[in-house]
Amino acid sequence: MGALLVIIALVGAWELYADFGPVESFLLPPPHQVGQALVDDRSLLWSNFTVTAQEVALGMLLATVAGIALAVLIHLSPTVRRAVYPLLIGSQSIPLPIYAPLLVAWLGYDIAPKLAIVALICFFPIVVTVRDGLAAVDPELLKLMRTLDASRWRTLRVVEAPSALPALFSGLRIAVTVAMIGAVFAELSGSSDGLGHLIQQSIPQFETARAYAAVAVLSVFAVALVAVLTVAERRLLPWAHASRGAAS
Amino acid sequence: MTTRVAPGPEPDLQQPAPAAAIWLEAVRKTYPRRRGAPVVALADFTLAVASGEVVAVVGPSGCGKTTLLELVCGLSAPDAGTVRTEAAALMPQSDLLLPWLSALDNAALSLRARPRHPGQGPSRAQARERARALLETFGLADFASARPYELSGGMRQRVAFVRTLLAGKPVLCLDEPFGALDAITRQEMQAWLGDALERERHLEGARPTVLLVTHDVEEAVVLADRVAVMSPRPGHVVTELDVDLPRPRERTDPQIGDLRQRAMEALR
Repeated sequence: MGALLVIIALVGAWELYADFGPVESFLLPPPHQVGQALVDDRSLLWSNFTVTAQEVALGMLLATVAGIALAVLIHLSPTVRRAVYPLLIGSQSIPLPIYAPLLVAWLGYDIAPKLAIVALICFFPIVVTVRDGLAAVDPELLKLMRTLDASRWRTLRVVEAPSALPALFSGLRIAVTVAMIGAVFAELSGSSDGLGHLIQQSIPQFETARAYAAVAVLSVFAVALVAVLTVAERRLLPWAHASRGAAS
Repeated sequence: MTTRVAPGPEPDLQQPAPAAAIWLEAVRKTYPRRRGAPVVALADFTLAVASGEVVAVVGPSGCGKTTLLELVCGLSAPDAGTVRTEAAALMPQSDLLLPWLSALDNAALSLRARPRHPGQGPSRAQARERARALLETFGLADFASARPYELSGGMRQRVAFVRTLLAGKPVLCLDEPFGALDAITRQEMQAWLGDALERERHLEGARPTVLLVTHDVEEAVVLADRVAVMSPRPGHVVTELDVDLPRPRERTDPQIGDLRQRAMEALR
């Protein structure tokens, strides 16, 4: 509700500024033109959206599988942690605009480089949050498992993995937002479709309103994905919310 | 029976093993600190608990009670001295129930934690069946499917106790089991634990040996056959009091009050 009011206020201010301010409408189209573009170009936006959505979804899936696997390895082995963690953090500081075109040149113009870029950018938040979730288990609980003669694997399976699930959801929520950036950059670096490609095509044609409409679609998609994750978390992990409430 | 000794000269294993479920002799345990001298948690700590006996260890906070339980449960080894114990199950201070499991599955955790080899150990269904039977015995049948956050503090402790029993170890280590409960619930739970232990002792087979660590002197006197009073750090046993009173015991009994008084004096 609060978010809605803020959006209305911001869009209103934008409309007034774009209509009466000193800026050309091909640089900053007013919201009603963007709205018009959303309606007029709906089939164009939709077909490009499905491409980008597929890149985001599959890329995130790849990042989730690989991220969980690496987080578990790092958690189980201090050697792996020492060997991989600096590399992981270092890799995150390489600017996406530098490696995106290289990956496209290397992997081609189809979906492969997009998946690779989305996965690379989503990988880090998932590894870090899941690993922290695994390591955040109460040490007393681990002692208890030792007195119950639990193997390392059973402790991971029965205690550590379930308690890391809320952290996984936090990581996924962060990953969603960066996944959008990754997908758009991948498309800007070389593609024939997708919302990023559409934005890149629209601006030189002075179809700025269409570009803004594409950005709006991306934003709504990100918000919707986060909402789906939040609902899924509440459904799947009711204890994570209930116990937080009861403990305080 | 497992024996843990400090690294160093081999202990004289020719000596006949003492007929005790828990045997600690001249145990020393220190913890290194980042700066300064290491903390001496236990020094020259000696205690023997006979099989089937309920011994309460009382002492001021920080006297090394938790260290004692870690030694008995095999979670750490002494720096010096000897620790010989039968396998021990731990009931921790906070219930440590897993929030995503039902009361039933939390109780059954003891049976599911062990590595399962084909044809060895109980299946999930068998584990649940045994846990359900024991929850029923302890008046928790209606709460078997409840998650821990839906249970009261006292009920959570009872589930934790059932989990401890299901570990099937001859020694039960209870670490301040009711420390986190309010005064009224604590008294109820003490009476309940007294009954539960009585019940276990009258079952067929070996009676469990119980090591109860607490800072509540009354709790110790009401529940135990013997009370060992510990000194402040470095902890060792300063006096032992036999509680030779019939069960169930009333805390208003003047003999209980008398023993409580003696334990309090030893603590000073």
